[in-house]
Amino acid sequence: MSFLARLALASALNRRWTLGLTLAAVALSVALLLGVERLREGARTGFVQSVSGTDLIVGPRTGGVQLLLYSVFRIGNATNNISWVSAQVLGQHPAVAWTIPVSLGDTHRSFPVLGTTEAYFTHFRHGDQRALSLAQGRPFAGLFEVVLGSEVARALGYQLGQGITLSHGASELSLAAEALTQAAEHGDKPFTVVGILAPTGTPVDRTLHVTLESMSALHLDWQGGAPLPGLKIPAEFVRKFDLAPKDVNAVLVGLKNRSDVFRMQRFVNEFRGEPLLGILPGVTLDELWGLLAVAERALKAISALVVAVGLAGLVAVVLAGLNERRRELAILRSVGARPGDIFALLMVEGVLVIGLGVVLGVVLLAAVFTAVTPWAQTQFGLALGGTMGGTLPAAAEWPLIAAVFAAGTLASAVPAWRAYRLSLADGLTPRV
Amino acid sequence: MRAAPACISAQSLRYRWPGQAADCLNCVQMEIRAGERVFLHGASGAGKSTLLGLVAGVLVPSAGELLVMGQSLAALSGPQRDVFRADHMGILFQQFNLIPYLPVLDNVLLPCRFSRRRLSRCTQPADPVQDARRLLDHLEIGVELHGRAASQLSVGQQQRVAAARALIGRPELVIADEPTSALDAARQSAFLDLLARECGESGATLLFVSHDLRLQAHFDRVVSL
Amino acid sequence: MRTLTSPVKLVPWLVAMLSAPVLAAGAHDHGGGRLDVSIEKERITIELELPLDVLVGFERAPRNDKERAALAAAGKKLNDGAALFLPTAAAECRLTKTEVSLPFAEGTKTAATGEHADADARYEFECAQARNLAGIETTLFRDFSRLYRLELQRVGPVGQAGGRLTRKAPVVRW
Ligand SMILES: Nc1ncnc2c1ncn2[C@@H]1O[C@H](COP(=O)(O)OP(=O)(O)OP(=O)(O)O)[C@@H](O)[C@H]1O
Ligand SMILES: [Mg+2]
Repeated sequence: MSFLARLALASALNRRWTLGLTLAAVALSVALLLGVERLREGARTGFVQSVSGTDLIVGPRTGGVQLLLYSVFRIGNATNNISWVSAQVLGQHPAVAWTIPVSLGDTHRSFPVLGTTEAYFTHFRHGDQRALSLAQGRPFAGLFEVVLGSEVARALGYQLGQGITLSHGASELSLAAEALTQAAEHGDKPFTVVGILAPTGTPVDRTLHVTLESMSALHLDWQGGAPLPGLKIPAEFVRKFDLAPKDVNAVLVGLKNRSDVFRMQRFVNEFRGEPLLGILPGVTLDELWGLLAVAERALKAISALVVAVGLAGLVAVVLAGLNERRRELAILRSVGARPGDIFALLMVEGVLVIGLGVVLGVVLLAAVFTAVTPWAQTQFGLALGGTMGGTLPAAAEWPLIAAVFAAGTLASAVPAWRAYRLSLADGLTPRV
Repeated sequence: MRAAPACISAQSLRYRWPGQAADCLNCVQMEIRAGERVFLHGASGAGKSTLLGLVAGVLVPSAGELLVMGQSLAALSGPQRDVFRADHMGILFQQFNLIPYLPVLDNVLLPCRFSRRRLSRCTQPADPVQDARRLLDHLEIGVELHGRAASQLSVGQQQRVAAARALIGRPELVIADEPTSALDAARQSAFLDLLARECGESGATLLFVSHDLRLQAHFDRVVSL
Repeated sequence: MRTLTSPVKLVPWLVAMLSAPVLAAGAHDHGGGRLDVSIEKERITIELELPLDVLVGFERAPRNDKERAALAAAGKKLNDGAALFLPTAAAECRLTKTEVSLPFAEGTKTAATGEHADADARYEFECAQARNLAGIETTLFRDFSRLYRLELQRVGPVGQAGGRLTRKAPVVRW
C-alpha cells in the first residue's frame, strides 16, 4: 500500500501543473466555504463584545435593529430622538443602576462624534465586562473637551491638548460634500483633546466623545442641519445659554438586577410620556443575525456550489488524463498490479489532492483572516472574534471539512472506477 | 532437452472478443517446453497479441484448455491470475514499456513490488537493487542512466530497460510482443541477441511475437498462427 | 477606500428595509405570541403573552355558552404551568408560582383596551439541580392549534439571546 501511495505521488507530481491548478481551485473553494462560516461567527462575537454590559437600550420607536445599530455600532443615521425628560425618568427608575445617554449626528473626518455623560466612562462595558480605561489624559469635564477613541487618535495622529473642529452631519455621505464642508463646519467652536481611550476592539475606538452640553452648544446657532443665516454665537458667549440637552438619540441602561429586564422593557414600551422602544441588545443581535441568515444561507449555498465546481474540475482533470495514462495502467497490470490496485492508485491520487486542498484552504483562510482582522478593526472598530485569527479550524468547521473531504473522496471514485474498468478491458494492450 | 516439462500447452484453444461475431483464435494447438526460445509468427490481426493476453492471464479462453507451467489459468480467479502473472512472467510490449515518471531503477524493480516470489528469487531478496543494476549492466545501460526518469531515455534504451524489468526475479516465462518494431535493423538484432542471452542465462522460456520473419534466426523454434 | 466602504453603507439601509415592519414594539400579532424567559440562580421565570385570538379564536367578550366554555378551558390550560413548560428533567424543577390574567374570563375585571386583547401569564420554577438545565420544552403549540410562533427573549448566566419557537421547534435551548 505504501508503494501504491508513493507511485500515486510520483504520478501526481508528474502532472503537477494540471493537478496544481485543480488543487488551487479546491483550496480556494474550501477557504470560501469555511470563510463564510467563520466571518459570521467572528462578526457575531465582535458584536456581542461591544454590548456586553448593557441590559436594555431605549430609543424612539424605530426598528429594534436600527436602534441597536446606531446606538452601539454607529451604523446608520439616528433620525429620531427621545426627550431628555424621558431619559431622566428612566435614570431614576428604582430598577436601574445606570444610564448612558447617546447623542449622535456629528462627525469628525468621518469618525462619529458621540455626545454623552461621564457615566459612559464609569459604566460602559465591553468584552468580558471590562470597563473603559484611559490611555492618556482624563474624561471630559466641561464644554469643548473631547475624549478620543484609540483608533481616532492613531489614524489622525492626535495628541492631548490638540484643538480640533467637528463637522455637522455625516459629511462623508453627502454628494455635495465638497461644497458644503466649508459651510457645515463648526469651525468657530474648536474642541480640545483631553483624553485618549485605550483600545477596546469595539466601535468605541472609532468614536470621539463629548458632553451633551458641548453637543447642544455646537448647535445653538443651527437649525435644520444648517447654520442660521446672520446668527453667529461665538464660543465665549455660548456659556450664557441654557445648554441642558433637549433630547438624545438613545439611552443605554444597566439594571441592578439583570432578570428585571423584562419588567423594565415593558415599562419602557408602555411609557406614558412618549412612544419609546426598549430592546435587549442580545436579543436584537439574534434578530439581526436572523435577518442576515438569508444572505448567509445564499452565500453558503454559493460556496458549496463553488466546492462542487472545484471537485468537478478535479474529476474532469483526472478523467481527461486517464486516456494518456492507459499505457501506464497497462504496464502496471503487466507487472502484476490488480485492477483493485489501479482503483486504489487513482483513489489515493484524488484523496491526496482533496486532502492537500483542504489543508491549503484552511491555511489560506487563516492567512486571509490574520490580514483582514486589523483592517476590520480600523474600519468598523470590530475585533472580529477569537476564532478569526486562529490557525486551527473551530469546532463548528470540522463537519464542513469532513463533508468536503467525503464529497471529494466520493468524486475521486469516479475516475478510479473508470480506470478500473479500463484496466480490466484493456488488459495488456491499451487502445488509445 | 527432451525431458523438459511443458511451459505452455494449449489444447483446442478458442477465444472470441466480446461482441464479436467470429472467433479471433480458433482451435489453437501449441506446446512450448520450459527453456525454449520460441518465435510466434502471424500476419497482422492474426491474433498474436490476443494469444499473449490469454497466456498472461489477462484474457480468459472462451473454450479449450490452456496450461501455463501446468496451471490452468481458467481455474484461477482474477486476482489469483494477477498474482500468477507477476510471480511467473516478465512482459515486454511493442513500445512505451516504462512508467515515464519513475526512474530507470524503479521501473526495473516494479515486478518485485507486486510479487513476493519475484523478490525472493533475486540473488539477494533484501537488496533487489543489486540484481537490477546487474541486469541493466548486462543490457548495456550505463550506471549514469539508472537514476534518470524513464522518459528521458532513447527508444532503444527504453526497450533494454524493459527487458531488464521482464527478467528481474528470474520469471519462468518471458513474453515479448514485438518489442523491436520501433528499432532499426541493426539495433533489433543486437537487442534480440541480448534478450535471448539473458533468457538463456536465467533459464527463462521466451515467447516472442512478431510478424517480421527476418527475426526468426535468433530463436530455437518458429510457431505460426 | 470609497469602494471598500460603500457596501458597508448599504447595511443599515438594508436592515432598516427588512426590519422596520417586523419589529415595531408591542405589535399585536395574530398566530404569534411572546415568551420571555429569565434564569437567575435556581429560579426560572417565564412570562407569556398570547393574543386572545390564539387561545379561543375571538378577541371580545364571549357571546354565548360555547365561547364562555372555550374561554374557561383556555384559562384552565394556562393555569396548569407544570404541563405547559417542561424544563430538563435532570434539573429537578418545580413550579412555585402561577399568575394568569385572561381578559373577559369570569372573575377577571380586565377590560381589553382597543381592538385587541392579550392573555398574560407568569410562571416561576425553582430548580434543585439548575446546573443540569439544558432547555425548556413548551406544549403550548399542542394545546392551542391557532398558535404558530412565539417570539422568544431570554436572559441568563450566558447573557441575552433571542429566537423564535415554532411548532417544529418548541424548545428553549441553551
Ligand atoms: N479489444 C478488442 N475487441 C474486439 N476485437 C479485438 C480486440 N482486440 C483485438 N481484436 C481483434 O482481434 C483480432 C486479433 O487482434 P490482435 O491484436 O491479437 O492481432 P495481432 O496478431 O497482434 O496483430 P498485430 O500484428 O497487428 O499486432 C483482430 O482482428 C482485432 O480486430
Ligand atoms: Mg499485436
